[in-house]
Amino acid sequence: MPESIYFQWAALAQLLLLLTIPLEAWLAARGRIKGEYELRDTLANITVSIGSIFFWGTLSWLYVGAVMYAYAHRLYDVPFTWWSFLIAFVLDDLRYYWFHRISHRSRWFWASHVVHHSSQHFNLSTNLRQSWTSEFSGLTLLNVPLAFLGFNPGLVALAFTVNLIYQFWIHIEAVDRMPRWFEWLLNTPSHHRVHHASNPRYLDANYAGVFMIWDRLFGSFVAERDDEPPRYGIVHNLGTFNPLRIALHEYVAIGRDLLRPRLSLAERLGYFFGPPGWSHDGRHTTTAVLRAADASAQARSAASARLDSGLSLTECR
Amino acid sequence: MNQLAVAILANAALGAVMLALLWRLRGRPPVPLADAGEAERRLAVLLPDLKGTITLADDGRAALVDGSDGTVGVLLQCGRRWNARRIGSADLRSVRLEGERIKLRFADFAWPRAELRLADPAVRATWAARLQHLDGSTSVSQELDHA
Repeated sequence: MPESIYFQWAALAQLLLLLTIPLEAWLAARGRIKGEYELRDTLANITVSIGSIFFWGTLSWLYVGAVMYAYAHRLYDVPFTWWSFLIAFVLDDLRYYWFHRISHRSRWFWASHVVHHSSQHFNLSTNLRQSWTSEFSGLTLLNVPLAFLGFNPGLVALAFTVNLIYQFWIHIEAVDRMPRWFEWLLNTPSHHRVHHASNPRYLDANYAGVFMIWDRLFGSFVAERDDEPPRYGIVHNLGTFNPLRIALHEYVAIGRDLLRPRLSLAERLGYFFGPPGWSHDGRHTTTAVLRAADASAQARSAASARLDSGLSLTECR
Repeated sequence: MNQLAVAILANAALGAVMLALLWRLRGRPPVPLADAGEAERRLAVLLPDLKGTITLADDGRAALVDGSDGTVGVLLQCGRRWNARRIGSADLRSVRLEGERIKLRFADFAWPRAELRLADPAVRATWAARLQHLDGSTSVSQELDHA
C-alpha cells in the first residue's frame, strides 16, 4: 500500500534526522564543528515538540478534511507521476514561501510561528521547537489550492514532507557557505541563519523553504554578512524555558492588547492582524521602524567615525 | 497499529538516548558578567538607546540600569544568553526583598520574573525604592529589613 510505504519512509527519515541532533551536539561540544547546545534550551525544544505533535495529531483532521474536500471538487485530474510530483513540489514551495511570509508579517499568524523563532540558539534541535497551533491559525488552508487543481492529496503530502525534510539541515552553524550556484538557487544554512536572526538588518527576510528564488523574486532576500554575525531569537526575547509560555506567549500578548480600554475596532484589528510590533499610540516596534532606527544609528556612527578620523589626522599633523 | 507502537517506542528510546547524551555534553555553565563595562557592552547591543548608571548584581547574572532619560532597565542572564528590557510602570507587578535579593515579577507572560542579588543593603534599598516608585500600584513586601 502506498500509505504504508509513505509512513515507513517518513518514519525512517525522521529517525535519521533526529539522530543527527545528538551527533551535532557531540561534535560541537568537542569543538569539532561550530555550534552550541544548551541543555535547558534543548529540553524546551523537545518538550515543545511533544506538544506540537500532540496538537497536530488532534487537529490535523481540519487540514486533511479541507484538502480532501477540495480534491473531491477538483478542476483537473493530475496523474500521480514523477513529473507531477516535481510540479507539485515547486508549487508547494511557492505555497510555503507565502505561508511563511504571512506568518511573519501578521501578528495572528506570527503568534503561532514565533514559537519556532523563540530560541536564542540555532542548532538542529531548533527544528523541534514548532507551533502548537498551526492547524488552528488557518494558514494550513494554503495547501488546499493544489488539491483543488487536481493534485492527489498523497502527492501534496509527499511534496510537503520532502520540503520539511530539506529544511532540517539548514538549522546549523557548522556550514558556512555552500557553492555560489547552490547559495543562489537553494535555501542554505547561511540564508536561514539570517532568517532566525533578530538583528534589525536581518529581520523579516529569507522566507524560502527550498528554492531561494522566491525571496529574490519577491524582494525579501538578505545575504548574511561576515561583519554582522546573527543574534538568534526575536526582538523581545523570552525570559523563560517553560514550554507552555514558549508556545502561547504571543496569544497572551494579543489578548492583553485587545483588552486595552478605549480602542477603536480598527485599532483592535491592528493588534490582531497588523505586523508584530504595531501599536495604536504610534510607538511601533515593527521591522520597518527597527530597521530605520538601526540604519540611522549606523549612519551616525559612520559620521562620527569619519569625524574622529579627521580629528586624528589633524592631530597627527 | 504495530507500526505505530514501534514508531512510538523507537522515538521514546531515541529521546532517552538524546537526553542522556545532552546531559553528558551539557558543557560549561553560564558565564556571569565580569564588570559593569561588560554589562554596558551587552546593553549597547540589546538596548542601544538606554544609557545610564549600571548596578551589577553581586553574582554577575543581572544588572539594573538607571537610565539618563529617567527610565529603568534590566539586563538578565537567561541560560547562556542575555536579555534586556526597559521596565515601565505597567510592566512591574511586584518588587520583593528576600535576604540579599530583589525579586521582580513582571506582567509579561513571556518574561515572568527576575532576581538580582545585591549584597550591599544601601544599594538594595535604593533600588527597591527606585523600582517601587516607578508606579504607585507596585507593591513592595519586605521580608527582611533592608535598611
